[in-house]
Amino acid sequence: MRPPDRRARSVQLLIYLAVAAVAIAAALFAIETLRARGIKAGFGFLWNTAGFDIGFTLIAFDATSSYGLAFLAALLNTLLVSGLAIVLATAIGLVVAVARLAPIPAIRAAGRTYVEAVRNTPLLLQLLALYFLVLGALPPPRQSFTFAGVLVNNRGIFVPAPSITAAAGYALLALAALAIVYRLYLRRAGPIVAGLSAAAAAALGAAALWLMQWDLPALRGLNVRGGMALVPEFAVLVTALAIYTAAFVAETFRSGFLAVPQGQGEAGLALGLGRARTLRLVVLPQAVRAALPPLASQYVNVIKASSLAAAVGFPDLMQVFGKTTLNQTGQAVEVIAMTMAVYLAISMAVAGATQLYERSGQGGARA
Amino acid sequence: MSATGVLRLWRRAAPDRISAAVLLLGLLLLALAIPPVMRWALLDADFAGPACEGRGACWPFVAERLPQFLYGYYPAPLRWRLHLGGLALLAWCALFAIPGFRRRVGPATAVLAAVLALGYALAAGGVLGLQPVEASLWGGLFVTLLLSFTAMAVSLPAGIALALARAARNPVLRGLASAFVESIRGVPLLAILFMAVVLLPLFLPWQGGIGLFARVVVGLCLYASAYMAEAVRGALNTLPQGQFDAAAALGLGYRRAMRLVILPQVLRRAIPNIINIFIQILKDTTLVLIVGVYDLLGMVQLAVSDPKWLGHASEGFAFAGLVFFAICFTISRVSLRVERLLGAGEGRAA
Amino acid sequence: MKNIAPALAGLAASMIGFAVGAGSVSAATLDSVRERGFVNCGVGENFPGFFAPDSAGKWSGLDVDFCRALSAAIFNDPDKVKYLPATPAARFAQLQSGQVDLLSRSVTWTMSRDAGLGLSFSGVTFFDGQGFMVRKALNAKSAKELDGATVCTQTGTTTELNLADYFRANNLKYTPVVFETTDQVVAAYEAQRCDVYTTDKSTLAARLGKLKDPAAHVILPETISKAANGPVVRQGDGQWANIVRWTLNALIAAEELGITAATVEQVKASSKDPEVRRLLGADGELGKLMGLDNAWAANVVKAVGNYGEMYDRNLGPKGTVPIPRDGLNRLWSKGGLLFSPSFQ
Repeated sequence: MRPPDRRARSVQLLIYLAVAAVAIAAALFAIETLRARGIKAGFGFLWNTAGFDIGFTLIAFDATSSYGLAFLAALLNTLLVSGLAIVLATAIGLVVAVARLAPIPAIRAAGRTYVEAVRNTPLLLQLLALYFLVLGALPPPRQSFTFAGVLVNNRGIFVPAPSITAAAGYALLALAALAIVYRLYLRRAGPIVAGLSAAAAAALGAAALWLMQWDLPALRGLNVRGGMALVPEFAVLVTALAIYTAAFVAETFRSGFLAVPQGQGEAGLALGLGRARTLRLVVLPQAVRAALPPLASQYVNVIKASSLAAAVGFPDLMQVFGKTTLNQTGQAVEVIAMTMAVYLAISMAVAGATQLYERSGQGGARA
Repeated sequence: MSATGVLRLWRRAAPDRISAAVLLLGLLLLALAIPPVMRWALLDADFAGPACEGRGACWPFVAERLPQFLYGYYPAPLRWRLHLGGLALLAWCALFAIPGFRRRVGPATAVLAAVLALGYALAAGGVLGLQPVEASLWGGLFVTLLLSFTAMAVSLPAGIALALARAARNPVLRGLASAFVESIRGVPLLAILFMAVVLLPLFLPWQGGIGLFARVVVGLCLYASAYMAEAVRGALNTLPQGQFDAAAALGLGYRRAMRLVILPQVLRRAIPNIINIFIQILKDTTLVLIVGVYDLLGMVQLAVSDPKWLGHASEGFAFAGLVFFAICFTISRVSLRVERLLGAGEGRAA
Repeated sequence: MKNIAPALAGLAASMIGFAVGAGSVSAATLDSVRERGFVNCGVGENFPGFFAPDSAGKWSGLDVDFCRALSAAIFNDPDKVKYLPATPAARFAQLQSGQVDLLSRSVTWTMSRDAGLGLSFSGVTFFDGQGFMVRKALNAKSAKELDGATVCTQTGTTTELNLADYFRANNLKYTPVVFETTDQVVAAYEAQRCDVYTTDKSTLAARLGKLKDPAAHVILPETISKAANGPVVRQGDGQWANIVRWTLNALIAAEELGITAATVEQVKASSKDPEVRRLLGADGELGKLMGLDNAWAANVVKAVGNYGEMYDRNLGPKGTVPIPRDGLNRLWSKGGLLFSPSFQ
């Protein structure tokens, strides 16, 4: 609108200057505050000994490790929780979306009830309620449910941990070889060969299981020792995130399905594919393509929502770094900046990937 | 109903074997789930009495704690002020029954801002001869509503400004607005609240800073504005280029074009998304309990750890869940209706 | 659009102005407290016996009484205090940013906090130490038997570090489960999510009485840390630090000299003891040295009593949370550690 170039440019310059001035003023003020209070700024603290333990880590960490390692361990926890929750949410969401479009009213109603109930209550509430329900429902360690070497109590679900011996390794290799041979040469050889192959596979599988060394969980002292454990905080966080996100994922998939022209499904049926295979081979790929960009933003939401972990005592990035480390070191500016930068970087990466995907034309079902 | 009728209904509900199996499974699950829930919530439950002995739900707990769930520690003799504020808010909602008001986002927001200003004056006191009440006494559903409606009233104009800035020709303005919106949307609300509570005071020049409640409000408003900006921008992008050209052809300047032609259409298109964001904000206000402001869920959590009522967490959470569900579900129904009404309006216009 | 730039420029200019002038603003806490008309007292969320709001939101406890004493020293009125609760993670920022004038919330005095965070500890209102609570059913008689235990604790406190130190030093294994608030920790311990609940023994004592079945739990004898808890102020304001430190000293000295809330007026009028006369402002000008009225200490004792009275009111047998006063928290003359330098 009647743009004299010089004026526009001077306005730009002014905005630049003003923003820079605000930023500099805020920074100056913060530096002055910190200096006056005798707080040492900088990231040197990352190399100092943390002194605290983390209850759940993927990498080796103990109280003698550094704050930097604590950051890494916590970040991995956040990624693990989010990753698992995303996979679960996608699976549940897909099922619910199919249910919501099912030809049977009862199933549609069930799908809708799920979506409405989950979407209209806060995630934090679901998380807290689920945690205390789970703790209340499971027995203490000394009254564990025991079944086939699996222990279930309010400290977690403990399953036997396999460690592969050489003999078990050979059995597994043989099993893999059998699978490849069957897939390449024997698939069309008739029912007798198929039966024999299945029997051989079953025998090899059983042998592998038998030959493996199993570390059985057992109640020793105060707690269960041995085996692999799924702790309740982790399980509850993943489950709650998945249940909550699945409602949104389901709606995304549903609009994805609706975006697929009806003729596509009809064509699949006309080809004699049957309802299940039409869904899997014709409708689903197109629906997923249409749903992918909004799906990606739901996935980013999962990563951000995983920061509620502290409410159920799971050591994620926000808990270990944003709270414990912040409090031990007092380096509020650095710690919060690092925490926010990580979440921002993840979000930006996902957003960038989505954009690339859309531009690469694979998303171009629109044409 | 006769046996053949039931059979016919069954055939209609489950035309093939797979659906029949799914339906049976669903019915089985319902049959398993409903009796224990009913027994807990109604049959075995205690409804009166100073303490609970039964194995069912303990509703006297919720009844005793109800004032705190609703008002926090707000002094009982002054609660009429909150009721008055609540009535003002209800009156604002009732305005939407007026057909002409429904689509006017601008006036609706202005009236909401006035209602909220009144609400804060009533809640905080210290003006008009009202006795002051510390923000640290505020809590419960009252805080949940106050926070979410404030975030709404602030984020709408802020979001519009940000969306327009992102669509502006000026690259600096565009860059700044994009950077703000994307960085807020890229981090968890909890991190924003932490920043507002822990860091904001370090960057603010005035000694003593602002109170915890105000800082939490700032954090929530920043968060809501970024999402609101996206809703408005999305609607802006769906507006045909012809509308902009037509406004220019009429000789309207930037401001008048925006005010008279573009924004009214954009906002109408954005209404469903705006309402969805509002529901999102309403649910997300629960996070303030983590930084020490006690909303409805926060008060429930405090009550649950009261030694007098230990072991009644389920009742508290059920109550909070039902309240949130009732509010959010109602709003989402309204949103659907608005969407349909607007859809019909657009159709007629075309 | 064109109106944005000047507005921003104005904002920036004013912010720079503030930033430049900020150094002088933050200097004299006493002046800003006087101007404001009340003390901003940083407390925690809920710690019965030390700081806790009742159902009407009125604060009480030992740490709260200290803020009341401070208010009495400055305004001759114990109620000119505003209580600002914060989570452990936010408390130091709350003080550093000038949000509050002091923290009176059982903050543990450590070297890294004193020297590295711009804080200045003013003394000790309560000597504490970290301990362990377990169920009696575990049959543990000592913390050394806790190998393999699951331990619940709260984030953002020194307890996490002490816990790690103790178990490592004794070559024991454990799994920490860390929660946001004390209430969550206790709820998880009650649900038997963990075998052990660890925090300062005073808190353990306070919480034990409020468990569903107090008789089913026991606090183990070990004390694994030294915790000297007391009020904290910002570094760099010597006058304010002195006021806080000497208010605490006056409370202790008054107990040692046998001055109580009921007797203070009469003692001030009739005592011949020079120390008593200087403390209560009958002789000398000690209060003036800190910019206060000479009767400041008399006003403090009149308002909240001496340290012993404060303790009894909150932690005594009839207090909210009875904690026997038999260890370090007695006067030095009775075998404890409470000692006030001389009022000369």
